[in-house]
Amino acid sequence: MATGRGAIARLVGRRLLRTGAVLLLVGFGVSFLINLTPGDPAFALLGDQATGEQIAAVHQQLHLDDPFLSRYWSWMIGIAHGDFGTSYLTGEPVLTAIAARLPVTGELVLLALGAALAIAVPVGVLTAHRADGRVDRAWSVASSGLISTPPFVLALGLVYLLALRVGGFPATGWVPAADGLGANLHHAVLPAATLALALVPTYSRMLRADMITTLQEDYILAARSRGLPVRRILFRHALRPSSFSLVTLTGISIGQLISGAVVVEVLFALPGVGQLIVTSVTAKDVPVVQGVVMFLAVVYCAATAVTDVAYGYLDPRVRIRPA
Amino acid sequence: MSVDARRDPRPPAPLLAVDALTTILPTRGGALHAVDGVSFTLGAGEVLGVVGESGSGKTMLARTVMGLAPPAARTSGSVRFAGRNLLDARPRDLREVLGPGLAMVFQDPATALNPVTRIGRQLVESLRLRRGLDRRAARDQAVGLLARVGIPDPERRAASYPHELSGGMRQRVSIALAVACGPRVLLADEPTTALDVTVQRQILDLLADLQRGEGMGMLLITHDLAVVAERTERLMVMYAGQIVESGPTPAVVRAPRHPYTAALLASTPRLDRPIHARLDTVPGQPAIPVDPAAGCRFAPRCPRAQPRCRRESPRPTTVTGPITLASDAAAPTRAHTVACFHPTPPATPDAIPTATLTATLTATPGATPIATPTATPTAAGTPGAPDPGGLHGQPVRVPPPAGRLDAGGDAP
Amino acid sequence: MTTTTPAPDGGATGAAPDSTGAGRPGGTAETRQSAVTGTGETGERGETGETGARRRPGLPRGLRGLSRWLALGWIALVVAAAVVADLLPLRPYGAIVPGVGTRTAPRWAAEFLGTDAIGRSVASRVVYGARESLLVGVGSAALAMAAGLVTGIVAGYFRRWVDAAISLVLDALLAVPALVLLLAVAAVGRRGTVTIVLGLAVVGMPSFARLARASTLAIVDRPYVDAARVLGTGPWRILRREVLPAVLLRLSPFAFVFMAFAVVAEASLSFLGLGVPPPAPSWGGMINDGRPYLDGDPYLVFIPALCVFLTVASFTVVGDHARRRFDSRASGLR
Repeated sequence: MATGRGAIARLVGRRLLRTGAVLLLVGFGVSFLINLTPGDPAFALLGDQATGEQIAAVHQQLHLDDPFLSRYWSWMIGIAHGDFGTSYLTGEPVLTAIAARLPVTGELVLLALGAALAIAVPVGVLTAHRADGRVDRAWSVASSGLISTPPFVLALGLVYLLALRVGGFPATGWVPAADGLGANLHHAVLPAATLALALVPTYSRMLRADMITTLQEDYILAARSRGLPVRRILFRHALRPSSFSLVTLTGISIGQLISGAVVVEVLFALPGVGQLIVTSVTAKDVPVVQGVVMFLAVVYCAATAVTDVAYGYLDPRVRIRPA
Repeated sequence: MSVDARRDPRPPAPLLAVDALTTILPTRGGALHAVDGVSFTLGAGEVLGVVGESGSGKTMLARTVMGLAPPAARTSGSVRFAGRNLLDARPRDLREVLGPGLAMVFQDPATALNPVTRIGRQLVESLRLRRGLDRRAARDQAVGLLARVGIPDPERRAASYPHELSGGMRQRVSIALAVACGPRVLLADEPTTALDVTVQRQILDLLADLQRGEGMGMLLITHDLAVVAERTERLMVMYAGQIVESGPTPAVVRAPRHPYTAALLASTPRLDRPIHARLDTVPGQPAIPVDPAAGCRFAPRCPRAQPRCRRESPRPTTVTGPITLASDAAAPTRAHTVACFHPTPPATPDAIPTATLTATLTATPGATPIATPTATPTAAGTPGAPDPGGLHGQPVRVPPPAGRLDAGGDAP
Repeated sequence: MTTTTPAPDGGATGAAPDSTGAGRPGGTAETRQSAVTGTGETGERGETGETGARRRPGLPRGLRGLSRWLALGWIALVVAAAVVADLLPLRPYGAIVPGVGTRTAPRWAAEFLGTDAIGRSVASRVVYGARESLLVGVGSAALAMAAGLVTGIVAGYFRRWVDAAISLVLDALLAVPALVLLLAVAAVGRRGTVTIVLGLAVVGMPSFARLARASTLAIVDRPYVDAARVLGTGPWRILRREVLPAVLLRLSPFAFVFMAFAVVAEASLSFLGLGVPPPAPSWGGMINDGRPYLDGDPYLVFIPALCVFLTVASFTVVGDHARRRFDSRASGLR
């Protein structure tokens, strides 16, 4: 019998190799970005009134006169050493800028992920258990509506209802966790809820679909034939084998969460990574855009790789014959 | 079968009494009468066989008895276990019975075990939740159960996932799960169909051993007539949702009266025939009872069918055996009964004109049974006490070697 | 386990178009798999007539039909408005409505959707905004589909290293969150519709390509393609005559789902102030402009928001229906 550990190690190894290749390619595209700027990129950065001297300085700073491949390579070497570039406007290293804003985005994303799963799992299980029942149909309509609602519309709806009409939640602003966890969470509720609500419909539908399949398996019938309580069968026996797709989806939706965070951070005026990239794009601060894009790609790849490995742990069969 | 039963002419109060059980499933084509008016009883320590082709409703019968019919199914009749009708019991009450009362072994152990849970955990769960054992006791008990069903090195095996075991081992585990709460009745639904031929006998021996050791009643469901012939006292032949013939196993096997039973027997390999003898197959396709019309369901395939068979549905009629009141639910299965207007003649086929047979058969209770006494020597009024002679001239149950089972016989 | 990146066709989740403007359109490849295993009732189960996995949340058939007609109606309305906007008796979208103050609430008599913060006609801006949304949606869908079709078919037909190389590039494109990729394109491009369309095409291409690749793999193994090959037909001719039409048919429902996604993405970008430059109207921009007045004049936000919502929902409903019809036709043939 093949030992699980070896198989997992192989799995992780292959995964890492592919992730590395993907990131090299992303880096290629990202460093090529600056070549895509119409005209001289220095003009885009400096505006039309730039002097020749300033332009020459920018060219040197961004290695614009180097051949593309050597610029790409030195940029990637920098990334590998944790140098994600330097903001042209502020002179601040990009990684420092990200690090200052990451706690906000990280908290937001994790809160949203947790909340989305906390809502979607019971909803998915119950709608699968009583498929085509009244709750299932009602949720089907409601989730269709939620799916068609862009996050910023959802956020404005929540702000309008909970911050302006009912009151009690701040419409904008952020309090760092260091200044009091209560105030911090209070400010995080609406943005996190926005992100979570956008995920709940896809999560719950995915789980419902897989759960319905699982509930028809013989081992569920066998568990019932042993007189186990329904709730236990649903949550202990059926949930885990039904959750593989959901786990994969959760990893993928990190990307969706990051995209959502960009919008939500701007809307709620939160000092996060999303805010950083939007202001950089507006200011045409290309080095920061490049650094943040690369950083987010790394985060996304890491998240999906982790879910893939988690998948291996969740389904013992994968350990024997890796897919 | 105990010796007492032989002395006492009255049958013991049955543990499980199923009466006129019907399960109708809505399908796209119409109402599928998967189980149609099935009645039988099962006492403690008794083994009752159910034989039929796939699709004859055997599995649905077992599921309905367990109260596990699909939600869309409409059921009627009654399933009385220990005096309580399970069919209209509340889910909570039904759950109380499942496990310590009724338990089931499923056909395919590859799908009947949770693939993502270690087998020890699955056992421990049942033991803790249903028998209230604490963690340590449940753990010990689980290992004990695995040993009991013949899993070698049970301590270590408890940490295995189902996919790490062979088919035979998996079925042993699923049997362990079924008997974990000490059920009084075990429904074994094709317990060997999905297994290698070499392992089938071991599993059947294990079931027989457990059944006798615990004094369980057992319903052994199979498509293999040879299996029931060897291992049951009574048997029912199921066709298209209905019981077409039932009675003491030796009687039915030696002198099948329903043409379908006869055809099934002819298609079963037998030791007393030349090895290369050609097996007869039952001609035609099994009937699917969707919106069934009146008439015998076997008629389209039956070589003996007459116009009447297509018009009227034959009712189970006693061929031989004790004559009891019709109201006794036990009657249909204690005696040799057949649901056929033109049954196969008992001893010398084709000797007796069909018309004579029918006339005799449809006679009122009390008429002399027409079966030749030599064919069914035990049919003379000792219900539930069949002759220990089977299809192969062997005892009905082949007792496995006493004590330890053939543990590890099918180890990977 | 190649499901680390999203693929089009939401399968079990009912094409669950996470057109929430944030993620990529479509579910995952995994979903597709589970849909396949789930619908196959087999053996004893099918025989006993257990009504199989009713996978999609069940709306009554009548209600579903109604929602489809409403969706088609709304799309027709938006298309008509976008096409004939210049012919409608509307005020110029950039001009201040004379005789009516700024932020006048909707009223039938004066200005039926009211005026915005500067005093411009909301009705006019909504209609011209529809043109922008539709242009971006259709344009980017067409571009993404064309590019995805070519790459996907080439990968699926030639396989080997071509497939490996293309798959890696697609993975790289999918490794950057959709809106972030769009922002990156916006960072270097000129502000305007062309940049948005191009950016969205880049974002959407991998999803189309993956779907095209999978469909190609399924089609190439069919006997009639083999027959063509045996008869000496060249690869490009086979691709054009046999593969392309079939893959196109498979992809077309997803185009609707992608359009829903594109409408949201365009609105998001405009909302972030990176869409078409003012004074050109766009729904996302209008929502952004109305934000400061959310408390007193919520209609400034919610009228364009409703337009976005209805358009997205309509494309989703239509795409979902198209996919289901396609699926049932495919299974009917087999």
